[in-house]
Amino acid sequence: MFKNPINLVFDQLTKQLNEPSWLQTKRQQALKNFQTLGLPTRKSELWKYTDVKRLERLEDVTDIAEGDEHFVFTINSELPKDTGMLNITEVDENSWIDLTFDKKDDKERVFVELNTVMLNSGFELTIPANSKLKLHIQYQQVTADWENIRTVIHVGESAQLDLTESYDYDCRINHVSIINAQNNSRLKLQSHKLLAKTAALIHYTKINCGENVAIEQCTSNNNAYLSHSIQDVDFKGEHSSFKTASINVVHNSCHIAENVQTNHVVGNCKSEVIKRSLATDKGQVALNAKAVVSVGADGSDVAQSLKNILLSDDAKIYSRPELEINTDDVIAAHGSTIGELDEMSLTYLRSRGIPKEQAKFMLIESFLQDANIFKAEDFLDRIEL
Amino acid sequence: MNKEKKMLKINNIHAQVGDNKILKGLNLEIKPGEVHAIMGPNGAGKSTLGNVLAGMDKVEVTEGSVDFLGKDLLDLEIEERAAEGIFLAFQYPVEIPGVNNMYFLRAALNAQRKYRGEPEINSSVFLKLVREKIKMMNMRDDLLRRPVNEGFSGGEKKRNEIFQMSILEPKLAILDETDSGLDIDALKIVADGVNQLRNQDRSFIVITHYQRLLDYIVPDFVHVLADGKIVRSGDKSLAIELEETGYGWLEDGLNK
Ligand SMILES: Nc1ncnc2c1ncn2[C@@H]1O[C@H](COP(=O)(O)OP(=O)(O)OP(=O)(O)O)[C@@H](O)[C@H]1O
Ligand SMILES: [Mg+2]
Repeated sequence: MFKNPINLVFDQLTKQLNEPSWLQTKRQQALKNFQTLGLPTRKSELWKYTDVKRLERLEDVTDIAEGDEHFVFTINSELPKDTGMLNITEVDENSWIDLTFDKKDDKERVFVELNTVMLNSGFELTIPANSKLKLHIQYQQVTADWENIRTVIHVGESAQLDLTESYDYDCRINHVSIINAQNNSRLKLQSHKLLAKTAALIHYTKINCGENVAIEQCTSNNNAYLSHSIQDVDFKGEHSSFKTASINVVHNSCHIAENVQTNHVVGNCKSEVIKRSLATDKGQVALNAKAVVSVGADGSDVAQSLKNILLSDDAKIYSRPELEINTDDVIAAHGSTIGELDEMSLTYLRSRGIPKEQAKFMLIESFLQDANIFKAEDFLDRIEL
Repeated sequence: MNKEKKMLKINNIHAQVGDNKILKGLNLEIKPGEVHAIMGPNGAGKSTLGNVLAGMDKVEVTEGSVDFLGKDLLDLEIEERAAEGIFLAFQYPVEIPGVNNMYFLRAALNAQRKYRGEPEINSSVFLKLVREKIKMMNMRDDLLRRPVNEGFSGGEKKRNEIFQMSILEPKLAILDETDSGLDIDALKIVADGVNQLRNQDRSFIVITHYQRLLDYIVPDFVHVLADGKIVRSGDKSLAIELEETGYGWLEDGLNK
């Protein structure tokens, strides 16, 4: 990502692209921001346990599929006629969404700037009010270098979206997702980040919830040399709920960092974060779940459940649930545990004739199933356990 | 009963947990088809004996040997012992959240069958087997759909142990205070479950504090385990005697 001086990369990129000047201006501004902010360090809360230098150590992807018909993303579903879909570099200037952050947050989210600088693919999708859409999107690695993808999805009022996203096994992707869920919409979001031990994925997600919105999200993270995600969820209308569950399973020297922040700007919304993580070998998992309840956001309900199992002495898990509550009338529950597989349970299973490895597997499976909120039968099928 | 064959021969077992010496030279022989009751004061080492036989990791055997149907039992892993036919109904069954009872039991049965070189049992045959046994145990079948022992009442847990036993059909079952915490009806049901499994090839070690259970499961032998050894053996009348005298006489004997 940093092998070439960034200005040079940028010059090359903009010369090649036949794009409107406003977008070039955005890129230049983003470049300035990126240069001012610099890369996150261990002092940045959301990068405390993640070594950014891992990105430098990545080799380019060599194993790229040949052929013209390869796109950075493919949509494996039919889009209804009235669904608006634009290539991200062809959107109208007015519909471009600038992501701006508080001073204390912007350095941690600096890869959003880099994404704008290097942006090479993505889309803006508008789902009309009262409609239903089921989508499967696959993000692919088509160049030897990083893919910088930006996706924007507007879910219209009372619309329903069932979205599954997956990523190429051995990818270098910097993905920025923006989801605007308008009043009364229902979203079911699934994400499969089942990656090679050499892969890298930097993912920033912004979710805006209108009134009476219900979002359920289930993510599986498996391996990657570095998989880092930040998710900001803003409640902007009352009576909305956001439930997110994820599993994180790492082996070898893989590193997964997952950060989710729910902002209860208005009252009477519910956020629930469930994370189940498992680390073996020298694998690392760094988790942060933060709920911020603003002054006056009464009737907020926040829950965080982070449970972690270490299967080796060298594995590391950092798990941090955090509540920042600035009002009185709030229901809050949070918990974080790090442990090993329960010896008593293991012994009990074995005492009925189940071999040790199988018994361990059964306990691991049941542990991870807590996060299977959609009750998918194939929930653990492609995961290296 | 097959008088010639031996099932279990425990020879001079010494066992400890940490530095705490618990079994101190225990001997016991069991033939196929026999039911042996083991009684004795709290802390005597009864559960530890069960744990030694089942292969629990925490207990360390420092001396002695155990022969089970011609095999050196102490040489086998916990799961191997189970597949060879040892079943321990725990005094305190473990709750395993997230692992479904049926799934667990089928995995156990098939693992044992695989070990013995028998074909796996398919789900419909298994279901039939389960229905039959659950009826026999008078158990609510929603317990089967729940995670193993999770939220079960004390009595339900004990019944679940016997239910598992009836599915797994062990050669030697060790029941560790399976009667404690059971109401009178449940006690009869558990005893029926055991009696239905009694045959000339299957043996039982029944650990209990109360001779009432032995009215239902009539033992061939009753042993008193105290301070890590078997100090007295007799027939069913010994249990009745103990009910009247308690264990005070032990103190006198041990102090001599
Ligand atoms: N894991 C352990 N750690 C320490 N001490 C132990 C452990 N297991 C057993 N012991 C000790 O060994 C002794 C025998 O225990 P055991 O459970 O075998 O007794 P028991 O005869 O089954 O008693 P009860 O009738 O109360 O069930 C007791 O003093 C007990 O405290
Ligand atoms: Mg005991």
